[in-house]
Parts: sequence; C-alpha cells; structure tokens
Amino acid sequence: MGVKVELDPSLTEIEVTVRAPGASAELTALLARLDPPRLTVFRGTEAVLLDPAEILRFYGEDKEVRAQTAEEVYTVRLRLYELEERLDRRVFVRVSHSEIINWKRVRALDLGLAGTIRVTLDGGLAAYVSRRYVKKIKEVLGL
Amino acid sequence: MNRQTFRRELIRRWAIGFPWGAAGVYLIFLLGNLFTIPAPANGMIWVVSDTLSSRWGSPVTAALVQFLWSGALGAMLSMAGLPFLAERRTLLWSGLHLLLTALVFSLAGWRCGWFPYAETWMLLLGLLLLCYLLMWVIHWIGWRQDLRLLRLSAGLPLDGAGSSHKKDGVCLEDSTASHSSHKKDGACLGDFTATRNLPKKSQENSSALPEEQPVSPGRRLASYLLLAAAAELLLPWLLRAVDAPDVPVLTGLFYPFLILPLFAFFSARAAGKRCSWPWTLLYAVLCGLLTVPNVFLLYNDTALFQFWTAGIAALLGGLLGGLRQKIKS
Repeated sequence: MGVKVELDPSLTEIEVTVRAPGASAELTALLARLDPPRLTVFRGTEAVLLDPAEILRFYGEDKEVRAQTAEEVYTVRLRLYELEERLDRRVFVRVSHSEIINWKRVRALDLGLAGTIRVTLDGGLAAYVSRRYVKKIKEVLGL
Repeated sequence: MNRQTFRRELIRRWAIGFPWGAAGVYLIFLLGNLFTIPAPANGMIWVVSDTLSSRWGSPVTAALVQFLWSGALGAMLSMAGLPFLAERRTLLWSGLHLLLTALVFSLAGWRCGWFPYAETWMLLLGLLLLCYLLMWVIHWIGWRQDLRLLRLSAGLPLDGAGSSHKKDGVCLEDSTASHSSHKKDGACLGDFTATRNLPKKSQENSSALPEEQPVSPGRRLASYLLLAAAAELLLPWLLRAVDAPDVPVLTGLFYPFLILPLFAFFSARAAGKRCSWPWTLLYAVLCGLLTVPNVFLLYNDTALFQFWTAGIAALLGGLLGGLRQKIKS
C-alpha cells in the first residue's frame, strides 16, 4: 500500500481519498479504521455515539441490553441478536445467551475445573464462555 | 440447556442406552459360554446365572428380569455425557451420576447374581470408576484444546493467562502506530496486538487466523498420546500391583479385553473429532504400538493380540469420531 500526503493550505480539515484496484478485505479494514462505524447508545435519555471498539461487552440486564466500556455502562436499544448482526462477528463474539464480548479486548482466558472458560477483559472485567457456545465461537473465528 | 431440552436429551439417551445395555450383558453371557470349561452339557447356552434362574423359578422369567436390569444399567451409562451438557456444577452432576450408576450396577448385579464374590463387585466398581476418570480426562483434554485455539485467536500465549503478553503488544504498537487516525481513543490498539504475532497474510483481516492451522494436528494429538501412554504403559503395572497372584483377573482379563479396547475406542473417538483422518490413523497405530513394551515386560508373546485390540478399537473410534464431526459440520 502506497501512502501519498499532499499538504494544501486551502483545506480546512483533513481530506482522505482512497484509491484501490478493487474491493478487498484490506480496503474494508482500512476504511473501517479511517471512518469507524458508530453505535448509538444511551446514558439515561441522552444519546451518545460510541465507537464499538471502545465497548468491552454487551450484556442483558433487567430485560435491557447494556454496553460496557472501560469507564461507563450504557443502554443499547437493540437486542443482542441485532447487535450480533450489525457488528463484526469476529470482533464482537457471542459467548453466552446473554453476553457479547469484544474479542480484541480480551486479556486472559482461563479454564475452570468444570470446563468453563473465564474471559478477563481490559480492566479486569470477567465474563464466562458458555460451553455450548464454544463450538459456535470456533466457527465464527474460523478455528 | 433449558429443562425441556434436557428432558428430551435424557429420554433420547435412555432410549438408546436401554437396548445397548441389554444387548451388552447378553453378549457377555454368550461370550462367557465360549470360554466355559468344561463346555455346558447338551450344547446349552446360559444367558442368566444359576442364582437368578433358581430365584425366579424359570430361566425365561430370570432372562426377562435380567433384561430389565441390564437395560436400566445401559440407560444409566448412556447418560454419562449428560452432565457435560450442563453449564454449571458439571463435576458435581457427573459425580452424582457416577454414584447412581454404581447403585444401579450394584442392584442389578445383586438381583441378577452377577457377583459370585464380593471381590468381583468391588473390582467392577473400581473399573467403573476408572472408566469415569478416563472420561473426565478425555473431556479435559478437549476443553484444553479449545482454550488453546481461543487464546491463539485472541493473540494470547497458548499457555498461561497471558496478560503480560498483551500489555507488551500494546506498548509496542503504541509507539509505531502514532499516525493512526483514532489512536487518541485507543480503540485500535487491541487490533494491532491481536495481529502482531500472526503471519502477514492474516494481518489483512485482523481477526482471521492464518490458513495453516497454528495449533498443529500433531500437537493436538500429543495430549491424547500422553493419555494413551499412561493408560497403556503405566496402568497395566498398577493393575498388576493390586492383582491376585494366583489368578491375575485384572491384567489377564479386564485390562486386555475391556479397559484397553474401551479406552482406545473412546480416546480415538475424541481425537478423531479434532484431527484429520491421517492423524487418526497414526493415533490408532501408536495406540497399538504402545501396548508392545508391556507385552514383553509384563506378559509374554501370547499377549501380542493387544496390539490389534488397541489398534482396531482406536481405528474404529477415530473413524466414528471423524464421521460424527463431518455429519455435524
């Protein structure tokens, strides 16, 4: 990939033009980095646009879906299965009936005596992988 | 698993296990007739014990009673995998299942007169416990392999918790990714660390694994081979240590005809689910070869049939495991 930078004092903000021979995974990844999709979450009644990469996990609580970042917990007005469809499944991995975690923010994976996998996310947040979901996770991650 | 699914699975396993249990017990009796010295008079074949026949007054009634008890035992055994479907308290449920199976086995044996001596009963209970231990170890190996794959996909080291590894990765990328458009919110750092140790091709797609399997099938097979080495090289010596000096039933009968083929079959079935066909074949050959040292150290060359017993059982188990995996996928 070649990078060409043109400095133009007449511009008021950075403008990026991407030229590519065709659609590819590399191009998609690059575009996602340049212009990451945002997710609308709620802090009370206030809507907040959040970069999904900031979110550590989504989980069900009190018949609502929460999105937890390192700092705060928000409410999401989408079901877990809708989030699964909307987000990159290889990054946001459904680990149990009530939880989706950000696989990129996993810090440790440990096996319990009974075969339960404990996931430690950034900041020491713990989640548990349901054994029934292990097979699905392996499929999604292409393992 | 919800209650309805659990109940359905319970009924399904019961229905499958019952005929298998009944058939298994009658098969043991039929095979027993072949080795009875002197052979039964008038070419009669015994399918129930004398004790049971005399207790019920008629061999037909006795056979029916034995059918029900052996079916119940088979059903209990077929439910051994059920606790592993539960999400919580797996070991507790499995332990409870072991106790219940031991109870049904003891009752069945007592009512059907399978145990002429108390030692026979104790011995068979010990074998049941051994089978359970093997089942737990095989499950554990499978879980460990799943964990290794998941750790790999998360960019963690294969062994250990791996926190330090990821932190190191973040620090490295932090210094090299200063041009990143959203470095300020730190969102992309994890992406880089997950791909750092993967080959270039996989970096095109940050969450995909390289095409060649990073955990080689040989490495996957190694866990099962380690278990096979323990079961085939050490277990016979342990059994010999507790065996009767005059009639070594454990090493002469139970190990080569029951424990060895069962172990080889079930461990190969588990390995067959995770390894491709050539590796399964290799496992079957190695399972056979592992019996050879003890044939000469503990037995004599007449016990060389153990090579074929283990090899063929492992081959069948591996084929079944691979086939089941293919059907499921």
